[in-house]
Amino acid sequence: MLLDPRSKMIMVICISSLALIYNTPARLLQLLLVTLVLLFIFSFNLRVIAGYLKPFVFLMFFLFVVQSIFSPGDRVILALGPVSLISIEGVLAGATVVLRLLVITAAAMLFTTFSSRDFILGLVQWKVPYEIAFMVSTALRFLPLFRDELKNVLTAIQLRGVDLKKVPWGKKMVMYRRLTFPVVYRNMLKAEQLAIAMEARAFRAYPQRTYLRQLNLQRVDYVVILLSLLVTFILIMRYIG
Amino acid sequence: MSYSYPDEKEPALKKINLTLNEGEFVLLSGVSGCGKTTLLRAIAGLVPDFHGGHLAGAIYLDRIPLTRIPHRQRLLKTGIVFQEAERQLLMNTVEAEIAFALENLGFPPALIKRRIMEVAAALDLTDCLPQATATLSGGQKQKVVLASILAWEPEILLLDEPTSQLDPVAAEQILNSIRRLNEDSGLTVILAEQRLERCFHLADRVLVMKNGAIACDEQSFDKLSHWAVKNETSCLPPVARLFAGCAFSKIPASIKEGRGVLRSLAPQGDFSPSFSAASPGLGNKLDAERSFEQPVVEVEKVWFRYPEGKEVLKDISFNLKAGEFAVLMGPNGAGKSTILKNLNGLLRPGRGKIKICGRDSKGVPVAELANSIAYLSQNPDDYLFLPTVREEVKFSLQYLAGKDDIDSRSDQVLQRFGLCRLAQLNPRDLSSGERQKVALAAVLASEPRVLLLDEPTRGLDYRHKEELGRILLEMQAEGTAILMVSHDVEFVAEYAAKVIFITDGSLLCSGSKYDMLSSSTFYSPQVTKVFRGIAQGIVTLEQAQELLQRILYHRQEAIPRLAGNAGTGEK
Repeated sequence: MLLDPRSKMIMVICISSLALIYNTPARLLQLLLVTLVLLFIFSFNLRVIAGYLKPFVFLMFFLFVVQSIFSPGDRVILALGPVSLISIEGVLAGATVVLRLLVITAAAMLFTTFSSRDFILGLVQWKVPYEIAFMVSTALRFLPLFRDELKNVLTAIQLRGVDLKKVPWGKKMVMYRRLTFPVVYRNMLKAEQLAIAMEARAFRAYPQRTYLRQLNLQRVDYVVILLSLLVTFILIMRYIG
Repeated sequence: MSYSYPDEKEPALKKINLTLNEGEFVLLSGVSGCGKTTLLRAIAGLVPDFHGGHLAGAIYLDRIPLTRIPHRQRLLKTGIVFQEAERQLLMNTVEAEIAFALENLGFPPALIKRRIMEVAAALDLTDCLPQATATLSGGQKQKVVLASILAWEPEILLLDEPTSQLDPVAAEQILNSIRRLNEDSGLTVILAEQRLERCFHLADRVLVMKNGAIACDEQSFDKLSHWAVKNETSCLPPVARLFAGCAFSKIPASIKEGRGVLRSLAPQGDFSPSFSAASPGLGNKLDAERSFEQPVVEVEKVWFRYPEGKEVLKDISFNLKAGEFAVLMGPNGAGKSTILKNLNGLLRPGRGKIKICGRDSKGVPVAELANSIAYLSQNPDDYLFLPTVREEVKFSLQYLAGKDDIDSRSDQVLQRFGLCRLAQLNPRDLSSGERQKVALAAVLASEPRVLLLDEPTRGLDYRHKEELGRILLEMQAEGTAILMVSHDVEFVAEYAAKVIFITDGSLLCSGSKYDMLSSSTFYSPQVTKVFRGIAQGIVTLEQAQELLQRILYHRQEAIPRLAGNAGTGEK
């Protein structure tokens, strides 16, 4: 479906606000389903999402366990003598946190269904200053580069005979600390090169710039935006009230 | 004009006086760190505006001092393209990339569209306009960067080693399009380049820089070559060096001229048979001796594909014996680097078998394989993270080669690579050529049986190349098997022994460099091209010089006979 990026941005904002306000696993699960259906409509490959989420599985599990243990509750499931370890309330609190994260991540996937250029364009046409829009989108693009750089350095260290799985933890921490500096340093060099390239191509040469493409809100966009805002407003009112 | 960067004592440019005329194609050469890049930046106004520092003297564009031209007008006049296309792409799609600068300059959308269309047609990019830049090949990416600059029709185009990342075919395409623009639209071009063989014949004028000053500035090629013979032959391309070495008074600049000279010396006759009889290839003899040995690297019918991608390697098989020096050549994206990564375990073949030193590499961790197989990636900087050069070497010895007498052994390694002088310095403060040497020392410290190199000559000037070649030959003589990926035909011709051509993931053909390079159109060194049709199998400069001297000798003998017996012709 061809929607204006701004319509999608509004949808992401609505879903995220609901995810922050809802506080029960059941509601959040419903919201997650709705989000997944939306992604499906925008012909987003669900396998790709699974790929994105894979590195966070451990983190989410960890969060779930921590939340379950540290949220107090009366209905105890597991206890160690007089100290209650896990309660039903705790498990529910853990599930809430993890589901909330999942909903927000899934909603953010909608951003990847349009290019960063359209993202900038959308923001600019809503009177966000171009520099800020450009900065945000470039920063988003820079994150994967940072990750790649780290991966390169970790690969190189294995090529120098260090089997990271066999190195004891203490030594590993020392090694990681040493690796941080070159990674940061090289990313700064990259950023500088990018800045020179921008300078060489007249970035901010004039206070006003022109745009090759214009985004135009279609009737369907207005409908989607209004509907999203209305539904979200009603849902929030009903939930609070 | 002089310039120093902030926090640097030594000025990067020293008292440069230079007048460039409209429509000139100027080649800027010199070893790395001589100030080529800084001079280009100064003309573009990036120095001192962007980088800071102090500029003494003045630069004039059309007789107006650069400092007095408003920023925007200056931008419109000059365009600058840097070395790595990858780091200059700012947008997702090709069209957006080309439009970016035009939008910044406030061109109306209709004009932007027309300019994109024109520049894309000129550089043969029309079909890729809607594509994402990430999917393009290296050559196409560099073309897109070039297009994004040319789109606003600058008067002066500044290019900082634009082809250093490209295979010979892609490089030739780019340089030819630049030359055409220079001829057709009067665009002034200033090109800084290390690989002179690629662009020497295109230039109207050559500047040689040395230590931040201009050492030679010649429009006539004869004068330049005479200067070069006296001072530094390295600023001449191989074809000119060949003739300069044999004390010719008029030295040809291009292959075409060189062939003309040769033809006049040896109007007929094939000189190759007697030549190959005169010096039986050293490589062949070694090959015969080694044919009984067990290969150290065996690749058997290897297939590979990236997850959710198409097959990158298709049924690749080859062997590598101890003391062999082989090179993988082929276009960008053919799968050459992927082969190296399959060998050292960073990637694992989908089907097929890889044996290192007779042992199947399947299931052996990368770190363990690294004991017998050293690998230097395209980014030597990845390897360097310790505070001194000595510690880098010691680190490798500690992990790769056990724990005894590390200190004395690291001294040996440092000495061998000529790094003693730099041992206490931080690798980050070294030049790129020196950093590469440190990384090489670090991976080779454990004396592995196999060495894999991915584009090691990229961005190296001739001094570092010669040193690298010397080190590699030493390793080879000690029995290390070397497998290198390279686009640098001249380097391969000079130092390697065996060439393997890869296209589109398949092994096209392989053989000794004499057979492979002399029968190729693009992947052949200049001396081979010069002797094509006159003598076959000429690959190295030394061979060529020997042959040329023999031709001259024959001719001297022939002249008296000719004078006495005009009808018989030459031998």
